[in-house]
Amino acid sequence: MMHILGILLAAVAGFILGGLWYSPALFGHVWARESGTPETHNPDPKAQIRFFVILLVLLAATAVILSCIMMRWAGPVLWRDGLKAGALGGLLAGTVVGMDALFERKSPKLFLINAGYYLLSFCVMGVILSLL
Amino acid sequence: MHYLGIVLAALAMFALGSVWFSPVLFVRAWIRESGVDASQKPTPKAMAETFGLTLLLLLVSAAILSRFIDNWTEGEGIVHGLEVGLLGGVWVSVATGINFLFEKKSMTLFLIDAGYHLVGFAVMGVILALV
Repeated sequence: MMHILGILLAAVAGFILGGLWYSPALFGHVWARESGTPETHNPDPKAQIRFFVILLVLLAATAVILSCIMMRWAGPVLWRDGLKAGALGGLLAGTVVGMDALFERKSPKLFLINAGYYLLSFCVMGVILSLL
Repeated sequence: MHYLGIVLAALAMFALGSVWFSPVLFVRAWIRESGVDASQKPTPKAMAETFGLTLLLLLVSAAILSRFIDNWTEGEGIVHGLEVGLLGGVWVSVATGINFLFEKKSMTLFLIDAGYHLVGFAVMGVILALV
């Protein structure tokens, strides 16, 4: 049985974390510079909304997969198991982001920002899913 | 930890990558969509570094996948390996999809990369379950 509430909360947590992580206060500026994405743009509100809806759907998809893995877990799922699964899943995503960065000749900084976000948000998602 | 399976899985995904990103399959589309300047040839040393690091990253992915398949989830056999491998492939593809969304990269580029991850992780899962 999928638990919808945990998945929704995990996705929203990833969303909020991303909002902080990629904000100008943390790594937003460095990210924009290293990825070559222009910072000053005023997209129309409609496009903006569609963008964030797609983002939430993708984050929910990562939470669904994490939840699928937890459902096959050998033994009861404690918060530590959620953390373990999330951390290793985050590292797994990190290896792929690393390969992207290597072949697209992107800087190690960009890799660290992105991989750091996945590591942190998957850990948080894992814990949320194991608790709910 | 079973080292043989991990090494074989990483090598298999490496080999798959050199076919997937070859002129026979998707390298031309990949160069066009990623905007990497193909006329700027990297030095042999830089090349060796790139491929060495790639292999290292693949070893890490295989080791993580092996943890999930052998130690943490219930079930055994090829189907179990395939399922967990595919889950891992979808997982990392969605994660890169989020990056691509923000970096405004094309859908074609995403599909080329995600396809590689899906097939590669499935193959790794099967090898890890078998060896």
